[in-house]
Amino acid sequence: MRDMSLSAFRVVFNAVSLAGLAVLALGSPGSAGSETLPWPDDAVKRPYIFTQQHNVDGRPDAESRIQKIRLDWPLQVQLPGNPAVWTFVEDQSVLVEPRGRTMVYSPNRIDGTESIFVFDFALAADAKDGDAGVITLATEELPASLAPVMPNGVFVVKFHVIDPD
Amino acid sequence: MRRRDFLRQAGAAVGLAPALQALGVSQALAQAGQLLRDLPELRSENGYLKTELIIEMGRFQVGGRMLHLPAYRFQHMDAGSLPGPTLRIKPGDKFEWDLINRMVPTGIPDGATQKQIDDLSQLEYTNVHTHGLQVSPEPGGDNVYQELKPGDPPQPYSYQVPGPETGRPQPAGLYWYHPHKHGSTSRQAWQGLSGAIVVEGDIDAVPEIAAARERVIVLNALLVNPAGEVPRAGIAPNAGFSPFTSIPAMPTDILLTMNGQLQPVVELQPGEVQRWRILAAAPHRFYWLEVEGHTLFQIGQDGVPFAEPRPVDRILMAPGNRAEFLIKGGRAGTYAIRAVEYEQGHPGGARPGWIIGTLEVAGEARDDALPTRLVTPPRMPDQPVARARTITFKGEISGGVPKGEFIGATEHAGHDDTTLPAVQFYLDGKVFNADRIDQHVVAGTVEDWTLVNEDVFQHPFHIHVNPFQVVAINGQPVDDDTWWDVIPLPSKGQITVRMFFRPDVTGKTVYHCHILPHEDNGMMANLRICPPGSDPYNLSEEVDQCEI
Ligand SMILES: [Cu+2]
Repeated sequence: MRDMSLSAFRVVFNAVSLAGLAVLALGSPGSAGSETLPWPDDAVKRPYIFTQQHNVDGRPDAESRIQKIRLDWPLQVQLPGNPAVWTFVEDQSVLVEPRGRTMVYSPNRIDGTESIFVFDFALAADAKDGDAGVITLATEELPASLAPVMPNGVFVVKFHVIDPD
Repeated sequence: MRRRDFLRQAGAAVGLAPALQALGVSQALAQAGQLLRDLPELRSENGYLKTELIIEMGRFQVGGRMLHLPAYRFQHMDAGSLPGPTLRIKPGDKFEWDLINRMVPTGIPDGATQKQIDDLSQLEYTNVHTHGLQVSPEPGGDNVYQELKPGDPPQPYSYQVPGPETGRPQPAGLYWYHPHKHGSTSRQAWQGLSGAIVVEGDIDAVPEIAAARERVIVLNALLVNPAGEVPRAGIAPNAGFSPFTSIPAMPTDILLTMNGQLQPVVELQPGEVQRWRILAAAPHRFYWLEVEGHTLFQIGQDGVPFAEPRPVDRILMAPGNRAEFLIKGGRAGTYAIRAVEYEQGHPGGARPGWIIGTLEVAGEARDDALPTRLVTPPRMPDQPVARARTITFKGEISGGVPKGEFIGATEHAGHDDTTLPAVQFYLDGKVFNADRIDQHVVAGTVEDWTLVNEDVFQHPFHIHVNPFQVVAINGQPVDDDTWWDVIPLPSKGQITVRMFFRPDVTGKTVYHCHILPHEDNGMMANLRICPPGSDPYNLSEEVDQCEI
């Protein structure tokens, strides 16, 4: 039992040492843009979640909204629908593999929608640092409430893969 | 080895922390299952207290993770505390602190440009609000319009807590302090910036309460990325485990902590009575709180004590609420302390249930007494209702509605005029504008406000300075003398509250939704409390005066 306590202590200590370095990196003066902080190897891998607010299709500022995605981390898209039905557009998507979908009940949150469509994705197995990717989904029917944010009934997110390790 | 002994040993290992503190670790604590800690405290003496309230960056071990967060400390402390230290004062006290802001940008999205980083610099601006204290909101007091940038000179705040000589002393109970800079409030709450204020008074003299072990328990929800930092970006609600994503997106996790610890153990002997003071400091999550197998004998709500204990099985705490109760240890055993699954109106349905801690009943049995009488609570003055108003709450989360009147947190999300805010929340169809006076009221009068909720989201109404009572729900009269300073509105329903604007406090202040991401995105408005005898009722919202 004593050993267990000690090893727990060592884990803490290691994490602190790593984090201490990160502080130095963050504090470096005159840096252009953000530094890439290390993420722990044992972190629970929650997905990058994209909602209609992340759509770049039809947006004048699309170029400044290209995401960075870390290699090996999962992706998820959540879009309001029902009765509108969102589907994955495979031939207009790049570097992602669909990993399942569902619909969760979410009534009275957004006019004309009863649910949220949830799509899981993984980066393609051969994705590597610097690669560009695209996720595209579309619906034939679009509730009026969503027309301003996804004017063409199309949802697009664009990203670059980074591999800080 | 018994589990408890192991926990103690784990505690001993943590005792080696000074070496870590030198590396900037403020608190090398909180493996899941360790004993609930008591927060550091500072107490007024001879009616006065002065300190510095310093926000400094720290590293905090929470569960298996190392978080990098700004944290409060008082002047006498070596390191910041997550959540902040507790202040203990009495009615009639004067207390002062100088707020010092040493926050640095954290949680920056990968690939952010320097311009994108600079555009969000307001997320490190701050100020401090003393939630529930019936003190002046004027500049230099509990003024939420002030802002303090990192590195600015210390900003002085001074508070005169109402004493018995006013005829309406500050009720004895649990209050709190937290940042209230419009646009930055929710992010700083997700960073855990919050602290308890205990006002000591009449209820503490009730013998059964005086004899009880007291615990101040602050509930926080920390929204962190894998680096253990709170995203520095716009946010949008989503379904699923963690309720918000950032723009640009980064993976987030939500950690529900008690006193900065993940699932700590609270010890109680069979038959022992303890007094728990609980603060819901999370900016978004409702806690439908229960302690498995135990009755909660509630003795106060939002700082105001009751006439007698009210036994309940669970207590709903919206963000900002406080609940104080006595709990008597049952049979020896281990019991869950839970935030029960709760449908608060967030997209994607109910927020999941959580075990936020464990009650461990063990040791020698005893039979502590519970009180039957407490104190005489303040009463609503018996005077006619001077004014009745209606306030409408409505949110917009499609992301497709052009920017409203104010340029608040939506601007922080990096949007400009060519784009759309991620979300917007309105009171009476308007987003917050600091220069507008939405309501002129008169100190010393009683008013009824009907709060109409057009959403399923149970927006919790909060108003600064004066508490209120509920007189009707959906138009049906309610006979309940509980005082509140935060009350959740029914989905697609309405509540009528009655307020007494105490005669000795005037000034400009705010009312708002205490879902802090709603407040930051517009759901706040201004109130001008005019001096007794003035007649401001026909003034337009452009006029920040009290007479025509
Ligand atoms: Cu709200």
